[in-house]
Amino acid sequence: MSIYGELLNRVNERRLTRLMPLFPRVGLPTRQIFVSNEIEELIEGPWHSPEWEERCNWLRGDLDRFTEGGLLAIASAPYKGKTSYLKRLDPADREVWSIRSRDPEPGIRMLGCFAKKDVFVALTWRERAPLLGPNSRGWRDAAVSARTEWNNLFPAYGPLSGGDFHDYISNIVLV
Amino acid sequence: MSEILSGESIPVGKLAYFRSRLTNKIHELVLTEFARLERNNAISKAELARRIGKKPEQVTRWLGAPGNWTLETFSDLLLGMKCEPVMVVERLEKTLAVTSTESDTGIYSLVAAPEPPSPKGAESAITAMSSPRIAHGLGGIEDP
Repeated sequence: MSIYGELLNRVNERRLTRLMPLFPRVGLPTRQIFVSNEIEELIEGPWHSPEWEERCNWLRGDLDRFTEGGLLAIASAPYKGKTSYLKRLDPADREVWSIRSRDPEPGIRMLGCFAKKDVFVALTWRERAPLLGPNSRGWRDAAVSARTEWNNLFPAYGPLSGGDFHDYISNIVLV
Repeated sequence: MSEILSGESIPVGKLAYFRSRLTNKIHELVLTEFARLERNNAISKAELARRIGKKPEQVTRWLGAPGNWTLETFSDLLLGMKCEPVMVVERLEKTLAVTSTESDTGIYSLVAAPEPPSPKGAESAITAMSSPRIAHGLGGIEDP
């Protein structure tokens, strides 16, 4: 079975959900996001406060930018492109990526892996501030947690591993 | 989305979603134009920064994400590329069917009407700025 078939199995098992853009563009969407249950709860609510509801809906808008297929800025290296939309975390061979919803405060990071080109599986999320600096234990633990979640969902498949950023995602600019 | 089209009070979450959506559209518009010019060797980040009196690293941050953009940022970046936006306001009920559907993955979504013809002369900015509407089957999942 292909990795995509496995993805659909996880959807049928209700361990993943496909996030559809609220306003899809003409034609088939060029990118897809599947989210874990914890991320679905973050996006769909209920939320503990109006402020958090506002923040999570802002995040939903950021995620729809991915699924609508528009041009995205990607960090060209782990510690570059501080404001980019998407960044692969160090070490690169762990293949854990972060979608960065920076504003409004608190910043949120969605960690996950690419199953195949243009298909991202968002597995865990963290508020940015408690993660501290780029080499912190918080970052490492978050990335390990995301990769562990991947391994639990897809024990027979590793995440997509490409030689070039364009192997992972289409319509990008490196910053 | 019914509360938006019906004239009811708009929930704070929906207000936030559309703010995020507009911010992302504006950022994508600028980023797309910059990428096009850069590809044609017509501009660089350093050149753009010089033209608008900013440091190159500031321009790099702005092109990465729209986090702290203001309308002034939007204007400056476009002007630095010898551009200004062309804007059109559309009514949501014109482009969206009010019917909501459940996709088979359980996420709420909308079915929109076919894309209306766009005004002549507004092509480039509008094409980049307001994404074409719809209409793919929301029920199926396809392997891209």
